[in-house]
Amino acid sequence: MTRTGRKFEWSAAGVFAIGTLLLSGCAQPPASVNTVGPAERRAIPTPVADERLITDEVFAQAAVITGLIEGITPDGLRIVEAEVQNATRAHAPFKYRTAWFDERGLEVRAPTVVWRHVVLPPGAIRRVSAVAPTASAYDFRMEFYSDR
Amino acid sequence: MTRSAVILIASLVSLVPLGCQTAPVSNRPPSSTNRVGETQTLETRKLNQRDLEDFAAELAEGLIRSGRLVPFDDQGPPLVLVSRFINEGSRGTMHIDRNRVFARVLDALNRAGVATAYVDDDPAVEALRRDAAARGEPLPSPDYSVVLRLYEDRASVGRIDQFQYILQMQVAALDGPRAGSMVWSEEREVAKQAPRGGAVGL
Repeated sequence: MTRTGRKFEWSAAGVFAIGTLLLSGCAQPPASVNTVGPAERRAIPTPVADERLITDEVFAQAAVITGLIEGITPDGLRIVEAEVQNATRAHAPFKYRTAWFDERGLEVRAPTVVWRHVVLPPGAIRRVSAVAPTASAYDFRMEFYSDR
Repeated sequence: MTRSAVILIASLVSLVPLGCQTAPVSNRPPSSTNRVGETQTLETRKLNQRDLEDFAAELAEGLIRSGRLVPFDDQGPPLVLVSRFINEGSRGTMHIDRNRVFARVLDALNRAGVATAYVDDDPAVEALRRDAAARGEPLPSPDYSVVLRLYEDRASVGRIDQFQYILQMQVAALDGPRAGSMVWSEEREVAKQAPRGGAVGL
């Protein structure tokens, strides 16, 4: 009786150990992007103060927009860049589009205003950008849409 | 169970279906056609025309951003000939309409005002060029040419097929000190994975 009980205890311990190992294997976090760059940056970006309208809280917390900067092309067209960080442990697929407006606030339609697809690896930081389609397009609005 | 507990449970249960209901009920018959928006189009197994047109627009924007299209005279923006679409893809990409891809590039460059872009497929313009050349006063020749190339890579592992497409845009100078050399190149790629024989589309 005792021997049988001991056998049972051993087999139970074995199952527990294997189970623990399997679980620890499953629980290992997925790969995530590490980044490195110079501590003192030469570039002096021009930040843009932004105003946000969040309708998808979950997506906003997953793909975090950490900054918005602007510039000018050699031909005088406005460039905008948003920095997006994937704050999750999974790939973050999303689409983005930039709508442009002229000085009277009217939308400037153009062939370059299309939904662009991005898949951001876990932890990655990426810039998404847009160039004004015409010299009269100045104001802009970037839209981000989760593609899960 | 008290009466108030029963009422509470009943009211919670009645709320559950409301929580699950995400869209208003449509009065259309189930078999009718729905008009969909840009973010609702089907993701096809292989490359679709829309993917390629959007890539062409992105590449044109990249070219505009680069500032490499500089004029060689004081006659305004440089003349850009969108000349060729070279399809190195498989039979599955033969449905691509190059004119629609060119249209995105032409439209983007012309609207931005950084170039006067055109294609050589207008018979009226061709006739004009011939007449002008015959008179000894040829129309201005292009300063740059744009060539688009499409590549396809295919891989399979187990029951998963992967289709990878690369659209490359190459710009060569036809005038100026760098005539004959490539002055700008950029590419966009898309990779699609699907279970073998299990996806919708091409």
